[in-house]
Amino acid sequence: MDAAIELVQLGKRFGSHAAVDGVSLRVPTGSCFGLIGPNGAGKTTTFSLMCGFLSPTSGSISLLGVSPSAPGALKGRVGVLPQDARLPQWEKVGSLMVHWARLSAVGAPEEAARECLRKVGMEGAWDTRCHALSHGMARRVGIAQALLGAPPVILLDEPTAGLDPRVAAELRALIRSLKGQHTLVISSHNLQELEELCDGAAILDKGRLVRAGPMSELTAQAEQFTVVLAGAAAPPLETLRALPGCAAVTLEAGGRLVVQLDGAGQLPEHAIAAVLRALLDAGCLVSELHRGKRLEQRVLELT
Amino acid sequence: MVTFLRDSALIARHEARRTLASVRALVLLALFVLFSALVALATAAAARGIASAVDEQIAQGQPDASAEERAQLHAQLDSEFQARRGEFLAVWFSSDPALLEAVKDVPVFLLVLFKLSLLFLPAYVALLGYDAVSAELADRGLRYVVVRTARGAVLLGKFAGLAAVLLSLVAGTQGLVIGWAAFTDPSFGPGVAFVTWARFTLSGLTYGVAWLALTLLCSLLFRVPMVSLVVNGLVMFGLWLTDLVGSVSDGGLVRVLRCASPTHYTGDLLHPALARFGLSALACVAFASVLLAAGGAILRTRDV
Repeated sequence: MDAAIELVQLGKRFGSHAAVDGVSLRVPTGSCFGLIGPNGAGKTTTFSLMCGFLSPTSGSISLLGVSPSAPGALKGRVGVLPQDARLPQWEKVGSLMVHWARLSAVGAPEEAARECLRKVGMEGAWDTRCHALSHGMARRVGIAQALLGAPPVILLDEPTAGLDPRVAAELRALIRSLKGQHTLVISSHNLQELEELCDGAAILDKGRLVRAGPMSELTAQAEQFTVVLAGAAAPPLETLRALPGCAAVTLEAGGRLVVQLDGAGQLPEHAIAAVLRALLDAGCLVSELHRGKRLEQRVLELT
Repeated sequence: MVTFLRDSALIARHEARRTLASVRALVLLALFVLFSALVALATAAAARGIASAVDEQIAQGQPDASAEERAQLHAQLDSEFQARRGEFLAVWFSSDPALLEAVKDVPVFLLVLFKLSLLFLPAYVALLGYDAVSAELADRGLRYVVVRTARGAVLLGKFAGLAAVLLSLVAGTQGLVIGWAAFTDPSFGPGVAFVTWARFTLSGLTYGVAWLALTLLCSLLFRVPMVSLVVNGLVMFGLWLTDLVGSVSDGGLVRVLRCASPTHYTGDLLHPALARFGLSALACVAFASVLLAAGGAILRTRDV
C-alpha cells in the first residue's frame, strides 16, 4: 500500500536532548494510524515534525510526496489539531473558521465552516468569542478547523483529551466515520481509544521507535487469546493443552485463562472455537473473550 | 505566486481588522491626540512670546507716524517675525531654506508636531506590532495558520495589515490636528491644509514602514512578547544614537553607519526637491525590504 506519510531516519534535537532519534516509519494511505508512547517519548515532537511546525535536525519526511517544511506545501492537503495551540482569544468562532477556510482555499468558506462546526456539535458557537469557550468546546472547534476542506490527511494530537465521556464518544464516532476517506494520524495517551480506532500504530519510547505495524500484529492477535471464566467449575487444562493449535494454556488469577497459539497453519478462530467447546463441555461459564494482548499491556511490555 | 499574494492579502485584512478592533489602537490614538495637544500648547506659548515682543515694538512706535513710516515699521517687524520663526524652526524643525520656503504657509506648531511625531513614531510602531508574531509563537496559535499557507505570506500579510493600520492612524491623527489648525487659523486655507495632510501622511507612512519591518523582525525572533519589545527598543535606540553621533562627528565609521539608520532620512521626507525626497523614501523602503527578507528567511526555518 502507498504511504501517505513516510519518515526516514528522522531526528530532532533541542540542544543536547534528542527528542526524536532516527525514527523511520510509513503511514499507509487511507489508514488510521496511532502514535503511542509514555510522556517524553517523542510523540508530539514527531507529530509536529509531520505538520511542519518543527524542522528536523536529521532525516526526512514526505507527506503526500512533499516535504512539510516546503512553503505552502500543506495547503489543502492536511488538517491539523495541534495539542497545545490556543485559539485567538478575541476572535469569534464563525469569522475565524471562515478566515481559515479561505486560507485553505475552500470553496464556499462560510458553508464549509458551518458544516464542520455542525459535525462537532458546535454550530451554536458561531458568534461566540473564543475566550468564552470551555476547554472541551475549544477542542471541538479545533477539530472542526482540521476538517475544513476535507483534506486527504488529518493529524489529531490528543483529540479527546479533557472531553467529557459523551462528547469523547461522539468524537470517536466522527473519527470512525472519517476512516477510509482520509489518512488519519492520532497521537494519544488513551490506548483503549487508539486500539478501538486505529488500523496501525507506532510505539515510541525515549525518542526512538520501539515497534510499528498493524494493530493486529502489535497486539499479538495471532499469538494468543484470553478467556475470562465465571463460576466455580475448574477448566480442563490438560484437555485444552492437547487441542490442535494450542501451544500453552495457563490459568491466571481472576479466572483468566491465557491460551498461547502455536501458529502452525491453523487459523486462530479454529483454536478459539475448540477451546470454547471444551470449556462449555466441562461446565465452565465464559464471561469474556479477548484476542491478543491489550494494547496497554503491549505498550507496558515494550516501553 | 498568485496564491502567495492572495494569502498575504487575506492575512493582511484579518490582521488590520483585528488590530483596529483592539483597545491598543484606541490607546495609541488617544496618546497621539494628547501628545499633539501638548505640542500645540507649547508652540502656542512660544508663538505668544514672539507676538508679545512684536506688540511691544508696535507700542513703542510713534503714534503720529506717516503711513509710509508705519508701512516701513510693519515690514521691519514682519521681517523680524520671519527671522524669529526661522530661528525657532531651525531648532525644532529644519534649517534647510528650500524646505522652510516650501512650508512657509504651514502653522509652526504643525511643523514642530510633525517633527516630534517622527521622533516618537518608532516607539508607536513598536507598541503597535511588538507581539504580532511573538504572541502567536507563545500560544502556538500560529500553527493554525502555517499549515494553510507559506510562512512568507504570513509575514508579508502581517506587515501589510499593520502598515494599513499605521496609515489609518497617521492619516487620522494628522487629519485631526491639521483640520483643527485649518479651522482655527484663517491664513491656513483648506487647499494648503490638504496638501500638508497628504505630505505629512505619506512621509509618516514611509518612515513608519521602516520601523514596522524592524518591529516584525524582533517579534518573530522571540516567543516572549515583552522580550521582543525590549530588544526592539534597544535596537531603535541604537540606530537613533548612531545617527545622532554620526551627525556630529567629523568622519569615520559612525558617519558612514548613520546611513543605515532610517532616522538619518527624516530631514528630507518633506523636502520639495523630488530627488531628495525620493532618495530618503527609497532608503526607508530599502531598510524595510532588507529586514523583511531577513525575517522571511528566519521564519521559514524556525520552529513554531
